[in-house]
Amino acid sequence: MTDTTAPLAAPAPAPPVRTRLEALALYVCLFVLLAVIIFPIYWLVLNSLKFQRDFFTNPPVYFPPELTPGHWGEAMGNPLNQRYMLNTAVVAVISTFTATAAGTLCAYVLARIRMRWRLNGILLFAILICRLFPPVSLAIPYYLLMRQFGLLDTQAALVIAYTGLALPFVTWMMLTFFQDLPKEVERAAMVDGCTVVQRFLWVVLPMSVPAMAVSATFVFIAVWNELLYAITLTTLNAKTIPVAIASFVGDNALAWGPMSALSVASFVPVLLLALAAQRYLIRGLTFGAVKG
Amino acid sequence: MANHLRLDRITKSFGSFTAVRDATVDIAPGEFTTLVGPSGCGKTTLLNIVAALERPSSGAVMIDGKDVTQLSARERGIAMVFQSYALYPHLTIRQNLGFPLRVQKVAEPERERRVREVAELVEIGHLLDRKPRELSGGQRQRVAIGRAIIRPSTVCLLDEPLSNLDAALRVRVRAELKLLFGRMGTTTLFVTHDQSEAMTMSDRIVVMRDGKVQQQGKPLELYQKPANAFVASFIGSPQMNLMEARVDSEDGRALLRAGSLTLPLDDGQAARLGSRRAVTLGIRPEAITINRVPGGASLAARIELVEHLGNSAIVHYRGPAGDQIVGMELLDASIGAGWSGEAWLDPASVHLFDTETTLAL
Amino acid sequence: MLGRLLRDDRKVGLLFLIPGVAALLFTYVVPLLYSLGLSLADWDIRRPGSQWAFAGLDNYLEVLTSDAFWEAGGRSLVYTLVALPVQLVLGTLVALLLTDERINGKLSALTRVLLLIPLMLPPVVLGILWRLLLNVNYGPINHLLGLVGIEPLTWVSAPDTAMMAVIMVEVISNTCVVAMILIGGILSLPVEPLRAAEVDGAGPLRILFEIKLPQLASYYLIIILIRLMDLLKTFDFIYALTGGGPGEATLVLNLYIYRVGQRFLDYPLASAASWIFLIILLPLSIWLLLRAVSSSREYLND
Repeated sequence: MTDTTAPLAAPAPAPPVRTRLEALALYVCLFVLLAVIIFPIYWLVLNSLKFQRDFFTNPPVYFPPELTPGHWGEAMGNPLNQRYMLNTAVVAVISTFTATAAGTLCAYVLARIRMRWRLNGILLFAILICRLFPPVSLAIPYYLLMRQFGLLDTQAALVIAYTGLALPFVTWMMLTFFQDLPKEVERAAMVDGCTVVQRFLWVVLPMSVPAMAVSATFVFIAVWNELLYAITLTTLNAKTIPVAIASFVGDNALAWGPMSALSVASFVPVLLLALAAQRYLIRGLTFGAVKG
Repeated sequence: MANHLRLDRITKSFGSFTAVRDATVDIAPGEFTTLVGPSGCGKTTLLNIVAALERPSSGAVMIDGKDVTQLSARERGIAMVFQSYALYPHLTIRQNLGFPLRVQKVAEPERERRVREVAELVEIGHLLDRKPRELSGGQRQRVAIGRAIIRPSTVCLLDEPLSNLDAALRVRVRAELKLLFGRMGTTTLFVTHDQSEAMTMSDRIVVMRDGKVQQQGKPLELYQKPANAFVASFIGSPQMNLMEARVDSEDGRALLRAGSLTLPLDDGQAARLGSRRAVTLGIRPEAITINRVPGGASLAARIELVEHLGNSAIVHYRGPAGDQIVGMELLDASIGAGWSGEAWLDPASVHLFDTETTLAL
Repeated sequence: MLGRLLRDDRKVGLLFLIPGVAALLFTYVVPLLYSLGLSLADWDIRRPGSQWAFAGLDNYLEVLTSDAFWEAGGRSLVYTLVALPVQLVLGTLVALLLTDERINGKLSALTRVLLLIPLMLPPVVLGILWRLLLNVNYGPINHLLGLVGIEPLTWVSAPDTAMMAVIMVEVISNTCVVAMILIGGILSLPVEPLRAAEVDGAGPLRILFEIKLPQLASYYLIIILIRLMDLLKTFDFIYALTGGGPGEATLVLNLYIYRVGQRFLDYPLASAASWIFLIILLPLSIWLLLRAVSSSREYLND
């Protein structure tokens, strides 16, 4: 490192002590942040493993000497809960599939095929508006309509509701993706002789797999966690995990153990999925509208 | 299989903006034709119209006398090389090359055979199993060309295929392309903004500006007999000197005065002038030299700047009236800035253009 | 014939649109029309065999004149207008913290990933989790507060403090989303203008306010759009945390409508309320949406 002997015109560097204090303050903030994020999770997991006697204590027990898997056994062993898990999974997978498929097809047309009567603009507008409706406005008619068609408390009802919920989102994400796709590759396919269907299947779709995966991940997570529609449209058979968890409020208010176990169980798959796709999720959060 | 391509009075408008105006181009079978012009002149739009990627607002595209305007690209039998090469990123090079054949439902063994044949031709045989992202720009370009020539086509279209290559590669590929297409004999339409590419590669050049065809013909024709001032300044490097000149007479002989230059005219030139008082005068730098031209005209000038190219030199003169004129020495001489003397030219070599219509006289 | 059909771009376009449009019709248009009809009707689901009777705007009037509705609306407003700015500020601070060069890069990166956690949590779980944490007698929060000498707070068990508790939980969990988006923005900022400012002698605060933040304006716009819509639509976690209570202390508009519908079974009234909610919400949402949408039309046929 060269020795600079001549003083520069720029201001002198800050004194070391101040910088170190600043850095220290920053680290303190960082640890506070980490604590705020991690502690609740820790508490939840802890509660699922504590003995009953360690729950209602004052002061609360942070590091119990003994843990028990009993609550997990009770929560996961309960056949009802297992069925709810299955329901949640089935509904999530099917809705994700239908929403992603329908949304991608719509998005491609809106992005690349000019329809008559300015349909492209109108449809896009309509689809985006749908995204803005508060679910509560739709939950009530859904309930009554499903009741009328005898679909209450079925997985089908949930799949229908969730597909509708997710469709505008998928369409929007895939639309921005298709608009960013280089036109020339599709034109090359046209010149090479492809019909629209051929170029969509052979050229566009393979190039869209990452974007579709991201959309699908978002949809899956949203459906898995959803409460309002689930609680409105199901009573017994088609209940999903969020509903099961919500039912602990009220009747089972004291069953902290199983409640926590079930919560963690519902949380873990989603978390793993999210961690696997984290880089893409952040882009998706901004609608992809801001080029991040 | 060589085909005749004709663009008949093509006009294309996008809303209120007209990209191509009443363009008529005739290309003989097997000809290598270049559409050239500055950015925004409409050449790419015209190419896209030939490729069936855009439909003309009016006019017709005809191949071998048949109107194909309503047909799609495949139905027209067009092949195209895109400026960005547009390779399919998810397919291997082998699959990229074979794609057009796959669409036409050519059987696997035949496809493989043709792929190998073409790969040899464009020298990418060793890259067949790679993906496009693993290739360099020049290699991708070869794949794009290979994909275009793998099936017989009526017309082959190239959209500025050389502009993404670095300069040295560009010169080499120019020659290779010319050889390749010459051997295949396919009618070819090439688009570029670089006039030297147009000059070196084409059998025929079409110069465009603001959507209109300015002139079309053999390269040398355009160079020697430009139809208007724009073509004159666009074709040829360095650019032609263009200046406003007054018509005068002395001792019964017509002459032109432009800045520091006094130029006597012969009878033919005087006749073409008609009754004009002013005219646009065009002189190619190649025609201006410091060596004495017998029977020529001269002007007193001082050299401001010399650009040495090794095999030639571009000389920037300034006349006593303050006007600038560019000349060229075909053997780089050891002249330098500051030299004062006389610059010579042959009056018979100048070009005359009407000041209003810019058409050649 | 199918072959010929498939060659026409527009017909294929129609084909592609059908599944999506059909789904939208069934999941948006039909239910909304149904709910509109219902809001104009008089119908008691509890009376067997009762039919719909036309009731004009009675339901709407009833909603608009009911204190409960306006109070609920007020709560939604308070909730949104308090939580949003706090989230923005905190989110900015967190984002700046995690992109500060003085902190170990690996630690920052790890924390950034951990920011995902509150986002992935099902809102239900969030609700019941904080129920546990904020439990007046047995919850750790009150205990920890006690360690620094603060009296235990009543959090969600008393009407006065319940709303504050709800807002606090919302802010804590969603600050992470805000921070994540901003971090993405900050990391994508060009470095050179910042270096140039340093060389010009600008202090860190000036750089922050005059260079960094203005460049993030488009991100803030998106964040405001997303968070605003989400805040107004919040249901899940409030339901799990307080159920709207105690009493009606945290009964925001969404929960109010749900309660009228599912608890009191007064569907026409609930429909009218939800339409009023919609009418209030839509213009703002549309306006924000139009500002965020870019329309680049690059079609490939003709």
